Amino acid sequence: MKHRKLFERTAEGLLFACAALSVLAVILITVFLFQRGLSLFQKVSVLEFLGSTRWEPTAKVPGYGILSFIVGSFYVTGLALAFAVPIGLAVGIFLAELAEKRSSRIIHSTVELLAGIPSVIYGLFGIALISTITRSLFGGSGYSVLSASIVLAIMTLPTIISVTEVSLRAVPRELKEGSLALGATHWQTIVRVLVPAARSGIIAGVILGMGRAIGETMAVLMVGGNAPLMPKGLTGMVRTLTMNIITDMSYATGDHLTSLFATGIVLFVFILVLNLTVQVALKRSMAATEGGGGA
Amino acid sequence: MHKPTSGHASRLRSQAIAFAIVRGLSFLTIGILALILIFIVYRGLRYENVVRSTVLSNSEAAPDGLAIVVNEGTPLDRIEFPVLYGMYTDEYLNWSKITADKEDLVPIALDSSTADGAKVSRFLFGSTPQWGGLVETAPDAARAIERVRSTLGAVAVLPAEDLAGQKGVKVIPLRRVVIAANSEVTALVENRGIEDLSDPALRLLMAGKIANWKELGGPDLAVHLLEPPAGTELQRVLSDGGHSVSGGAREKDMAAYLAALGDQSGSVGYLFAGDAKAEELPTLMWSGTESGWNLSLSYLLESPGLSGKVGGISTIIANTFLMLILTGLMAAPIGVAAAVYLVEYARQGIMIRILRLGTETLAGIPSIIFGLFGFLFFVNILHFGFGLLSGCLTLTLMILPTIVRTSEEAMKAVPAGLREGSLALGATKLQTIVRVAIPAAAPGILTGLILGIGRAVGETAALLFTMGSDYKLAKGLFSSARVLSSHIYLLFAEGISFDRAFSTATVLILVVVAFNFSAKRLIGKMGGGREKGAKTR
Repeated sequence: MKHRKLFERTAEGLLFACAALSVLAVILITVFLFQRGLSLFQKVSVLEFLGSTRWEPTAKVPGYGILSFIVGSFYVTGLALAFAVPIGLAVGIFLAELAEKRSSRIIHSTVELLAGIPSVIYGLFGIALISTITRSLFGGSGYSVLSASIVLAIMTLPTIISVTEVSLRAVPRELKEGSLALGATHWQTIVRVLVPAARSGIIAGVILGMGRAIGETMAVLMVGGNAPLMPKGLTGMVRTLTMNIITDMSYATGDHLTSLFATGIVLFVFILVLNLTVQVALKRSMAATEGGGGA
Repeated sequence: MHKPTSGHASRLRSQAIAFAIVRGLSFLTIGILALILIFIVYRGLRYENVVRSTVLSNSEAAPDGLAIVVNEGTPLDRIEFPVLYGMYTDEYLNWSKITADKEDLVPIALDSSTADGAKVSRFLFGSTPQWGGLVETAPDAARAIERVRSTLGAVAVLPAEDLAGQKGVKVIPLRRVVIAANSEVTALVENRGIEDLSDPALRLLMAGKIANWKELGGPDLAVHLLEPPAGTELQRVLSDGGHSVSGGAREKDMAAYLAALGDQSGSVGYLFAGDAKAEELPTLMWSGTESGWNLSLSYLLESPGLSGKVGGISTIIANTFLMLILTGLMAAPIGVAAAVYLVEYARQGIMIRILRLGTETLAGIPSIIFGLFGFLFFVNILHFGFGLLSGCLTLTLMILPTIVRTSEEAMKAVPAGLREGSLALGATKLQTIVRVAIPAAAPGILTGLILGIGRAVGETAALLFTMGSDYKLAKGLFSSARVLSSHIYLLFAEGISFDRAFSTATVLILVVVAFNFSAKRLIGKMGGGREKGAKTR
């Protein structure tokens, strides 16, 4: 009996270790990334790193300024969200409120498959079709902010759609019934009651999508043009933080390599902030709809 | 809510418009997906390229009864006569300009004093041999074949009948038909800026439908079309290749044909490149589109060469599945164990909140950061190097949250009655979990695993700097390996082949769709209650 108890205890310990692995991984990633990247700031000031646009890590007097890449990341992501949010909201509303069984099933499958397509395939699609289209419509090389954000918009759609749908479904029935009973049309109910009630959930979805877009590498790398300069307008080339890391990884050494890890730190911090915001927003949305939305 | 409206009817009308827009946007997503899938698959299956060359696209396996042989490992599937000529005249020292390989070029010729040797010499040079200094002489065909078999980079021209049943070497077909013209035509054509003869223009020309070179943008000079003399090798090759000539003048034999091309102003006709060279006749460039099947069975079954420029993707597919199996073997037990702990053991409180936060945070970390971490930790600190193990460990961390969350949902959905029954029968908690709860939650757990693996199969950024990019079959855990997704990227990034990138992408898409489909089937089997959890991965 004692033997058995010991065995159960050991098993529990092992299970705990597995459950704690995620936490351990996050800690390890943070520690190693910072430890490797922060040493750059013994040579380059944080202000110069974040505030300069001179990225010449292999020059005689190397310049490690990533401002253009930070701007590039947010530029592309913001534009992608501008495309994706209206469409994502509409599809979320359709799935939660309007779709009949059959079209709901088809669109669900579509969204799942869109989420499952690998980013390198989005990239290939982007260069072969989207770049060609933007080149012929707006001129330039086609490898541009615009092309990259269109590809990113498609990639973030599934996240926004799923979270919007789930949040709308979680709104208590009484709210909707009350609005309809007061004589509002279905559409008015959706726009003035359901969407505002699901607001924090929807915002969480948008932020989640934003995190995905900022962290996306392969697709933007293939269509963004990758010029290490401040992006000039919609048809100009762009390099994002992720592109900066992956482009130079293959040959960088010394301080140059360290600067890539430092770029990783900046990206990582952005992502962590976004993730924590999502957690808070979701918690708030859960609290707001507590009791009513038995999903 | 109390805003005055212009009446119920107008509100309904605007509602109808709004619903139509929402519906339209929803079906737009289906359109986008369809566009992506069809576009990739279409480009993956078919290719269409503009080719520009001096020789036409039809090839012969045994020109003049001879065969061009190379070592089996040489990634060459056809050769143009000017290249072959260059090989025997020291124009090429190694294979770099031909196949991008580094090997030295070893051209082998039969002793010219033998009958076969003289035939080869005539085939390459006509009446005035110009052997280059690199050329090695072999006394007979058997020894030449032996040399080719043992030397990567060797090439030989031998009588075709000596090659039947030989192993370790391969015969490559030759392209040698050119469009030869009288020097007056080309001299002036070049002045007038004609760069090449497009395929449709060539067809018209050879059908006798063009009377003056002016019509093709050339000089004002009457076209004198020559038909290949009947019964010659040239005529046989042309009719085999579907290049008929009609409406032209017919000379009685090859000598007269050549003489007419040389002397008659405005004359044009098909010719073998060797003859054109020997007679110093100018040739016209030919340009056309070549299309064909991109994704063939051989592409799936052959192993790649030259960074994917030639051959297929068999080893890359094998590496991909090795990677998936290894990742699954590592991620599944850990993920399920974590889910078991979260559902069965953890008490509500700060601990479970930290564990959940860890999983959520891990799920949100972008793959490039995983790549950086894998490079630092597995490749450098643990000294695993670029290889299968480093890549799979990185992937395991990436897909862990998906598996944990889905398994958790599945375990939660197991009815309490089942557990209680098991416990009441005297089973311990662990026994209950292993024998009752996990089997009952198996479909859900499997779904999570499939979703996770589905994510891993398309991952690129995390793998480029952890798993390496060797396209040969991985020999062990520490061997660098290229998988489908990184192959697609590298084919594109190294400028090797767009068509091949698309064919590989088609294979990858099929794998992803297959995973997606099987996950859906499993979710369908589990029924409604658990569906939700599995979907919000």
